[in-house]
Amino acid sequence: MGIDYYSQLQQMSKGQNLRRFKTSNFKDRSLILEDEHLQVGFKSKAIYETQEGQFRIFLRLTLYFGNKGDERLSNVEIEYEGDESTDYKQLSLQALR
Amino acid sequence: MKVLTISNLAYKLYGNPRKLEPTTEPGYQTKQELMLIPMSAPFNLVSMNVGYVTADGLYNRYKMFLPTSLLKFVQFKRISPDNFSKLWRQFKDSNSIYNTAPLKLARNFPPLAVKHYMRALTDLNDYYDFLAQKVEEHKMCCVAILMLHEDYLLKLHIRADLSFIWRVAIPNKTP
Repeated sequence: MGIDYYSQLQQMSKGQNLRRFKTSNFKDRSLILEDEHLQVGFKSKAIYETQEGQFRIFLRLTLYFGNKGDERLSNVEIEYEGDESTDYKQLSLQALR
Repeated sequence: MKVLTISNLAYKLYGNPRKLEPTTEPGYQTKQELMLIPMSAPFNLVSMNVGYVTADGLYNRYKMFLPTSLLKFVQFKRISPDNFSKLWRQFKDSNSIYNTAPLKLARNFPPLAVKHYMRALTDLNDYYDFLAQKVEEHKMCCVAILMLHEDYLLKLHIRADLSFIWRVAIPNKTP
């Protein structure tokens, strides 16, 4: 079963702000989600390289999950979904002060 | 469909959230790095689900797409100059047009050759007027489809010194 992009876009346009997402596509750093507790921002860098004669393009994406409030957030879950058109590798996950 | 889950440090995925350990302390931030490698162009976006429980026991969950930051991978579509001008007009004098920093074309690169690499581009003014220096800039346009419809209006301005900028506007249309 593939991802239902149409319903996801509809959901985003009602909730999270479709415009924020679209704008974030041509910024190298931006917020993609903010509510009273959690703030999710990103930095991204396109990497162009030639390896064994083949030109490859990567997108290095750093996501920041910040607790904005005075209370501890528990049971934080992050899940990714993609399909065969994109390969993605998790590089690291680390807590910052 | 591939599904990637994360399970290290303080994060765990899947299962009953109530059984998991607390994670993010007030004022703290967690950083995660991902590498996205498109296998084809354009590619479907990767979506991310984020969920957490507040101190009051309230469970919040969001679903969003990860930004690609690469308009290079969206699909470009040709648009007639008239239709483009109609759409672009709504952004005129507004601050919702985004401009890239000027980039310089090589001196031996004829500006019109840009169309060879981006075939969806359509001239907005006469190229020969630009060559004859009757106009200061040569302008071209196209639209970009992120997934479903015309998500971005793109305008390319090429100046006499062979520098160029992209201007981007986002129509307010939602699916």
